[in-house]
Amino acid sequence: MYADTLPSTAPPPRGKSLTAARAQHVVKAYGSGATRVVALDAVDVAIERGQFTAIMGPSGSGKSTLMHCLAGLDTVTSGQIWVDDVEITSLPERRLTELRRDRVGFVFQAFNLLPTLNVMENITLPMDIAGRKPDAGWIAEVVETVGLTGRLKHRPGQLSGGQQQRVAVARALAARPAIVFGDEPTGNLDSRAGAEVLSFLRTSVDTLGQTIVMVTHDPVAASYADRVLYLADGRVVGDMYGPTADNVLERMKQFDGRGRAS
Amino acid sequence: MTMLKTSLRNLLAHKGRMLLSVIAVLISVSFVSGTLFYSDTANSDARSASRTGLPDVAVALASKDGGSQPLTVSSEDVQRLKEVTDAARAVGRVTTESVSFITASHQVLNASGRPVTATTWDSVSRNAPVVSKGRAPRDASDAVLDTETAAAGDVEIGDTLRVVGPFGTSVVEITGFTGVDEGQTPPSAVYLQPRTAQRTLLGDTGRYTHIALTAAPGTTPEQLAQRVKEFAERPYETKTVNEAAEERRETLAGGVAVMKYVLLGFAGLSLLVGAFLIVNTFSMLVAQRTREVGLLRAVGASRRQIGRAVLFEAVFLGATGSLMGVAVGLGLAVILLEATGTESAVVVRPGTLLLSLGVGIIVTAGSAYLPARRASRVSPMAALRDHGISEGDAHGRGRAWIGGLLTAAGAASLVGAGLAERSEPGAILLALGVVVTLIGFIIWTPVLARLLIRLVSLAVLRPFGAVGRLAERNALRDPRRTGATAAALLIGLSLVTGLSVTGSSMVASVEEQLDNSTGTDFVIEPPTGQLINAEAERAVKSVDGLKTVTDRKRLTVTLVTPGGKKTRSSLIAADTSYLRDLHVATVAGRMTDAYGVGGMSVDENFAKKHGLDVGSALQVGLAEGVTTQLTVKAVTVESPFDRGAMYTGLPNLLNSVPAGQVPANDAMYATAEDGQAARAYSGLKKELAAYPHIRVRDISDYKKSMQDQVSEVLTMVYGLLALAIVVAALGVVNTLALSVAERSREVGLLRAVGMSRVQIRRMIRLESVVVSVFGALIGVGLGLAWGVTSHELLALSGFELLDVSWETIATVMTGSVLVGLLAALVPGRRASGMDILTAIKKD
Ligand SMILES: Nc1ncnc2c1ncn2[C@@H]1O[C@H](COP(=O)(O)OP(=O)(O)OP(=O)(O)O)[C@@H](O)[C@H]1O
Ligand SMILES: [Mg+2]
Repeated sequence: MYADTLPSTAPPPRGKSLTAARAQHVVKAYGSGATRVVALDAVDVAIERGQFTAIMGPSGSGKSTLMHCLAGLDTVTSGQIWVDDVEITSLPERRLTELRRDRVGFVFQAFNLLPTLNVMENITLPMDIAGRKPDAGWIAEVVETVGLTGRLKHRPGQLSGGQQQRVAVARALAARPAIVFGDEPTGNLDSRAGAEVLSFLRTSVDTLGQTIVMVTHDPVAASYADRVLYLADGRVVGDMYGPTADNVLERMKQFDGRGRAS
Repeated sequence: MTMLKTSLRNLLAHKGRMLLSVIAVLISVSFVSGTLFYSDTANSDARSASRTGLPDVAVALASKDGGSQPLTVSSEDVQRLKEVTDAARAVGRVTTESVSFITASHQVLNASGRPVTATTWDSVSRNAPVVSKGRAPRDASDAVLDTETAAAGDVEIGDTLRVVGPFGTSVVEITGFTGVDEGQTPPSAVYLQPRTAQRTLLGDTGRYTHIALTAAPGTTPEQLAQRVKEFAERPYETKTVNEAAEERRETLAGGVAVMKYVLLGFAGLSLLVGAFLIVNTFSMLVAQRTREVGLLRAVGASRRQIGRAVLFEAVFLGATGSLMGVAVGLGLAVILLEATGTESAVVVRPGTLLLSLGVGIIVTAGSAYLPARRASRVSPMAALRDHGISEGDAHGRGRAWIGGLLTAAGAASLVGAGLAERSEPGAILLALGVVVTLIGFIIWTPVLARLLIRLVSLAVLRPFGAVGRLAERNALRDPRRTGATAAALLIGLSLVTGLSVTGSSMVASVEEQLDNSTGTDFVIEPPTGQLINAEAERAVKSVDGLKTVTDRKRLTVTLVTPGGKKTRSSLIAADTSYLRDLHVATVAGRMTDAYGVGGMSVDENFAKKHGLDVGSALQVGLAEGVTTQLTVKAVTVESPFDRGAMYTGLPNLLNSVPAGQVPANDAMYATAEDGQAARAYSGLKKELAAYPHIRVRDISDYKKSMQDQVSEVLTMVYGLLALAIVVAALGVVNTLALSVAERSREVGLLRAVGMSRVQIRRMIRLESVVVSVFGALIGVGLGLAWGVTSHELLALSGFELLDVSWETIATVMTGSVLVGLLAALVPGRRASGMDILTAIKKD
């Protein structure tokens, strides 16, 4: 019934394993005793390389938590996580920071850019922090793709919301991370600006072979992805390949209905 | 009411952010109130200065000619005065401060720094001192002294005391102590028998320095004084008991007053610096709360309510800090009183309390006024917008102009001071220039920040890559805030630099003069106002290995110029060897001629003022009734030694003044035979061991004690300036801490994209150092300008050499780096410890 079994089309790059990130029996609980909240309840997921994965689910279902755990921003209560074949739950803080710097890219819902740095400086920030020289050709390509070529000297304050998000995407891609995470990266944008950012993400997967994980509430946004993971109450409850806006919406209704029934 | 509640809640919510502001207010107010408590207490002490020993009317001969000897009266004069004035009693007294007392343990007696007076024992006049322990003096060698001085000098009844006066030394035995009235400061005095006093202090028996009159019943002291003026045949001066008591009170209060104003000055400085901190705190709080304020405005709060709410917070903060400050101030006052040896309980006057609290509250509220106004201008629209109010550029231009103009005006004033021909108008221009350039630069710093911080960053931050760049951008982000933070540092550091240049130039000049113009090997000096009596003089001259010994006497003389103008001046009469001891440069004539028969020298300024030149004849009143004509043979250049002095040869004095009226030496100089310097030095020390108040120094010790004196003063001033610098450093911490809190999202983002904790800390540290160094650079620059100008003025008084103490400047710069590093400690730790997720999620 579902297009669950569609194979991924992008080839796994750089001779590594097929998963860019993987979670195994990951539990994330907040608080203890009566106030204990289990945000992730024994989650197993594998994010395939070179794919655009969307994570959906009702509010409070643990989407952000999962993403933060996968990205090494948050610690887990139990379980294991691999990012680019490195097991990160046991890494010390310093190594985690380096991992985020060198192998992970981020796009948040808002406030992605440092207001004191101009567009170019924001894009190269992770490499500057690492003290690495950015690959000029690659940066030019990324900038070209995001369509920011004429804006490199501007400060974030001088850009529109959509442009700012595109800068954030460019930054996330500039360091050639193994994986890019976006938590509702288009949540603050109108549909046109959102579409700009999403099609750019799509392009970067198709032409650059980038791996992207994106949390979203919007079926249209999810339809840009290769695969949609559904979360509810901290569990993975569905996995759909080759989504379209319509069947995503359909699926969401189902879950909602089920939620009401139970 | 709701607004009040909102403010209170805000205050409580931002306790941590207000902490440093409260501390700044606390420090400043504690200093203000401590000073005031101290001076109130010390003054209440001085107000009740004891009248012990003050007669109804004290009568002395008015001096009309020059002379350094006190004019004296005879027993007949005393008797005659009693008769013509119908006084109940008339007692001849000998009183002088030109005396030293040496205790049995070879200590110089003093009463907590105040000189001890020698006076004759008089138990019959009104207000006569009362013996409270032991007995009154009976024999010529008996003496009593006041209890406090005795305690200060560890003198017991039965001890002997050596009285070293201008005319000799006597040994007396202490037979008793005079009482101290409850809560009063007694005069510190040793009471001698008349014969001893006359021999030692006057060199003449049967004479007195003044007459103590006691009024007959029904006559007031004032009436008695009037009678002296009307009926006495001799030119007497009178001083009633009330006048004398007032003089005593003023002398006692005088020291306190000077100290009070100096301390208040420094307290004011730290209050000023604290104001910058408070301005920054409130600006940042207001900026942070823009949305909230916008929301309040949107739901109908008026501008005035918003402004008032912010001011209310300031008043509350000011009151809290001031209250704690007053408490700490009480402690400070106790310490100060203890240190100055005043043992009374701290006087707490309601006025002082109110003043201290008021100053703290008003300064805080005043500092918060501009931010409050800015808050009240927040439009309801701000609630809808994402970012805080844009601070800054609107006033940039006006600020640059005002700051620039003030700085230019101040600089012009400084240049004027530097070019001034005379010290007095120069000093006024200097003071004006210092104040105006300081204000100008304070206004200007935000404008300068853009330029200078970039420069500093170029020099300092380059090696730190992205972290350095972020630090630079953060420092530049809000120039007004950075400017205020740096300005606070600038105030203390510029003063330190300016004073250090002034101080080290003075020391260097004096040293150079000592090197170039002194030929003497030894300087022998009693304390100011005292003399080397004949016995001590003989002791000096008896030392083996001395080639020359110079007698130097200082006289107060009257001068009548060829134009008929009469002035009083001080004249130095010395042996010709003094010429080699201290070379004095001349603009006209030769010094050897000035020391010759009938010759003298005058200094440049005096010559200019009175139109004198070589060859002008002056009528010089050398002593009472002794006037000679001396001819100007040389006009001298101003030098730091013997400022404004006129010189003449000793024979010119000895030939015309009767032996009894020739004053003792006020200083002596000596040179050693070749290769005998060490022996002569130790010989001098040995011979003068009996006169511990007379200092013998060879030239290198002399130099050293000059340096010590200057550096002692500087150290004290630096110590007091440290207060302002500490408050300024708190300001740096405060600004950093608040901006870290403000930028927590940025920090979170940086951490998310891979900046390590170490790098975050480094970023904060670099920002802090850049801001501090920026403040220090301006401070040092300004201080150098002040120092150079003040040196130009000092050069007029003969301090020719400019010496910039690079050591101090290096210390100031390193210190500023340290301040920056220290200030970043806590904010840096807080930023690097920030939880990434909370920082990112934060609204
Ligand atoms: N710091 C925290 N302390 C306690 N509970 C938390 C914390 N962070 C998240 N939670 C809880 O964990 C659960 C998952 O939260 P999460 O932010 O992952 O949801 P989400 O799926 O991203 O929701 P949304 O779509 O609203 O962003 C929620 O029940 C939330 O209340
Ligand atoms: Mg979420």
